Amino acid sequence: MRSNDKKYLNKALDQIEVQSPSFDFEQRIYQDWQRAVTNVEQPTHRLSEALVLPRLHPRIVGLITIVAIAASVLIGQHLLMSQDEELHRIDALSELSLSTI
Amino acid sequence: MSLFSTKQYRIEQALLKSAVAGNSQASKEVIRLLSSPAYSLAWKMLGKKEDAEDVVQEAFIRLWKGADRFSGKSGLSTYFYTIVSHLCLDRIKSINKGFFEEFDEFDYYPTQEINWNHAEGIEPGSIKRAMNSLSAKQRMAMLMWAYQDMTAEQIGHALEMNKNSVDQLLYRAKLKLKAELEKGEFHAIER
Repeated sequence: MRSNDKKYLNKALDQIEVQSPSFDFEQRIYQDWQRAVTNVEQPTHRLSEALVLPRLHPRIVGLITIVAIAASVLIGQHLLMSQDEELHRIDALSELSLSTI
Repeated sequence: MSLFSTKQYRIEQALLKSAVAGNSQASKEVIRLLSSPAYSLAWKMLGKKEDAEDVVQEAFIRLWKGADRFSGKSGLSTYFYTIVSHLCLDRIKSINKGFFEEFDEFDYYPTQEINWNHAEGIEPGSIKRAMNSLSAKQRMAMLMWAYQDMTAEQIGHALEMNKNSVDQLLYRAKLKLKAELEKGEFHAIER
């Protein structure tokens, strides 16, 4: 419970008019926060840069990962198919050479 | 610690963590909760808009950078007022080099409730003058206690003093404030 003198002094101190802060005061604090947070996340070397990137830009990093996986699947498929074609070609050549003999 | 305060602490800690992790919504909420009362405290302590704004801005930077140190021994607002009060006292020290009163509450006063028998409407100007007659620490403790409704324990935590010293500091501040207000009233009657 509040004592009487606390109530009295609260009332008295409340009468001291506080000059309003600047209109962009909270905005400036918010900008400071953005700078402070970015500085904390600032990487110090290449490895930490790679580790910090997913935290700063999760969407971009996710997109890059999906594209990389899709590309590697396509390249793998292409390589496997071209390997099969090569084998077929070698078979055909060897059959041709055998038939000429 | 009560169940409510533990819960409250968890909510505040999660909010601050989220803000520091980069969540702009959480940071806006922290700024909304703390900036206005901290600015009022700093303004009443320093009396200048620019100084009060600088102090609060600096306090927020310290809060973001030292968020890990928020241990939950006190609420987030008390923790933040601690930063604000230290910055205010540092600023007063730098402005009034040589005139800053260090902790001077060594004499023991048996504290008791003071009877404020002034008329209800004291002039805001007299209150301001009376407050300015207090030492920086007395003024800060008085603002935290009466204006921010903090307890002596919370003030002690903010000003790094024990509860008894805060009680003494507040009691002496009240005595001085009362004397100054009475002096003001006397002058008003004389006029």
